[in-house]
Amino acid sequence: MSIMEYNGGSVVAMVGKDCVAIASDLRLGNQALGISSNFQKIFPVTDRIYLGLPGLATDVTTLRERFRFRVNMYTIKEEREIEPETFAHLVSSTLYEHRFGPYFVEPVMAGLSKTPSGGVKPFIAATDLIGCLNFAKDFVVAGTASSKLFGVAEGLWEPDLEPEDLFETISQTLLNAVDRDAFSGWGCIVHVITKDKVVTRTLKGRMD
Amino acid sequence: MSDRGKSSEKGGELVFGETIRVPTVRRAIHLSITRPLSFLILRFPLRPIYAQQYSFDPLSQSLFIIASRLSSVNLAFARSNSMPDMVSIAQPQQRQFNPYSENGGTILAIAGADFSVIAGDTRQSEGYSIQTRYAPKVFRLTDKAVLAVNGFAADGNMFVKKVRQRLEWYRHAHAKDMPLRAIARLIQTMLYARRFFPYYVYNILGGIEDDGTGAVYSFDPVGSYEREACRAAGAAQSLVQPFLDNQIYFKNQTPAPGTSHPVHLPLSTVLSLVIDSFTSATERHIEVGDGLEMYVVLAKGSASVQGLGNIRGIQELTATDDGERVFVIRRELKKD
Repeated sequence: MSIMEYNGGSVVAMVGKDCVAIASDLRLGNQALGISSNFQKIFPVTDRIYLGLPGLATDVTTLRERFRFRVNMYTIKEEREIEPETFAHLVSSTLYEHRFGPYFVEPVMAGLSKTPSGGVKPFIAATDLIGCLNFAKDFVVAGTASSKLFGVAEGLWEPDLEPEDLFETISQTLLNAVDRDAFSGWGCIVHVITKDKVVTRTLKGRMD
Repeated sequence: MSDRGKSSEKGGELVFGETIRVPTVRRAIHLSITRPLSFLILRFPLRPIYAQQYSFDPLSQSLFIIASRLSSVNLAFARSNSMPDMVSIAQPQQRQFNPYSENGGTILAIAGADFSVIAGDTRQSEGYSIQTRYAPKVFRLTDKAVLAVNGFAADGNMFVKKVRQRLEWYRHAHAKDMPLRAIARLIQTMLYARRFFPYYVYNILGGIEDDGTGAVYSFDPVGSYEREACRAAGAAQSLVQPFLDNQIYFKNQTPAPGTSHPVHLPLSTVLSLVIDSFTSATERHIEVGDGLEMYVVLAKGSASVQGLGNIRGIQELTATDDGERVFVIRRELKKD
C-alpha cells in the first residue's frame, strides 16, 4: 500500500492566453472505499493564486493551514500580496524542511504574476513531495491519475487557449483521466483564473 | 535459518526459486546420528522434506516452485551443541531463474465501419536500455487479420509463429483463410492452454469480420477476450486509453442539440488519432518511440481505399485478389 494512494485524488493545471486553469476531482477515499464526494483539494492563496494539494488527506488539511499562516506572515511583513513565483518557492522550502519525513502531497500551483508593464503572465508549477519544483510552460499534473492526465493533456492541450477553450480542455482532460482511475473521480471542480475574475465551476460527470 | 522453503515474490513477476542447503562435513555426521535417534528422542524431530512444493496465485499470474532438499534440523543440532570452533557457517544458497522479462512499447487498434487500424511502436527495451529501435510488434496474419503483440518480446514472437502455423494448417484443411472471430477464439484457446506458464503477452487482433465490418479483439495473457471498437495496450496504455475514450467513444462529450456522435469514424480521422496517440505517448513515456507501424485492413470493396492513395510511403501487403486488402504505413517517432 502506497501512502500517496491512500486517499486518492488528482489535480491538473494548464496555461492559456493571459489565463490559467486549475482543476481537481472531489473524491476522498480510504483505499478502495469512497468516503466523501466533496473533498476540496484546491485552495485560494491570494486573489490570483490557487494551490492544489493531492495526496494524503491529513497532510492536505495541515499544509493548507500552514501555507495560510506563512502567506499571512509574508503579507504582513512585506505589506503586499505574494507573487506566484515567490509562493512556489515558499511551498518548495516548506516541503524540503521535512526532507526526511515528508508531507505526502504533490502540490500544484496556478496563478497570474504581474509584469513590469502592468499586464499579467500565466504561471503554473508543481513540486514532488519534498519540494522539487517543476515550472512547466504548458501543463502540470499530480495525484493518482497523473499518468492518465499526462496522456490526455498531451493529446488535447495547445498553446494560447482563450479562457473558455482552456476550461473545455482542462475539463475534458480531467474527466476522461479520472474515469480511468479507481482512486480519483466522484465529481470535479475547475477554476479558470483571468486578469479580472476567477470562474469556478463544478462538473457533471460519472459518479462511479 | 527459518526461511527454509520461503518463496520470494518480485513485484508480481513469475519466479522460480530454489532453496538448497549446503551440508557441511559436520552435518553429514550428525545426519547419520540424528536419524535413528530422532525416533527415540523427540528433541530433534526429523522432517524429511523432499517433495516439491507448488504455490500459485491465479490473480497475479505468479508461479513458484520451491524445492527443499534438506530440513533445518541439522543446523539446529549444530547450534545446540555449542562448540564454538565447530559452529556451522552454512548459509542457505538461493538460485533463481526468471523466465520472463518486459520489453516495453505500446500497441493500439481502432475499428472503423469497414476497416481496421492496428498500430504499434517499434522500440524494444529492457529496463533503461534500448535493445533495438526496430522490432515489429504488429504482424499480418492473413489478408483480413493483423495481430499486435506487446509484453515479453520472446513470448510474443513465438506466439505469433504458433498462431501463423495454426492458420496455415487451417488453410490446408479448409482451402480458405480462417474467419476473424475464429482466429480470436483460437487465440483464446492457445493462450489458455498455457494457463499455468502463460505467454507474457497482451494481444490485440484487428481485421475484418465475415460480414465486412471492422473489428478489434483484445486479450489478456491467459486468453480472456472481448470485441471492442478501440483498445490500447502496453507501457503507455494508461496514457493512450483515456484519450481514446474521449476521441473515439466521445466520452464526457455531449452532442449539440439535435445531433448525435458518429458510431464509426472515417479512416483519415482514425489515422490522425493513432499518430497523435503515439506522439503523445512518445513525449511522456521512455519506453515508447523510435518508429510507428500502422497496419490498415480494408473490407472487400471498401470506399476508404480512395483516401489511402495520397498517404506518404504506404505499402500494400495483400496476398490474394478480390478480397480484403492490407496496407502498412510507417512513420518516425522521436528517438530520445
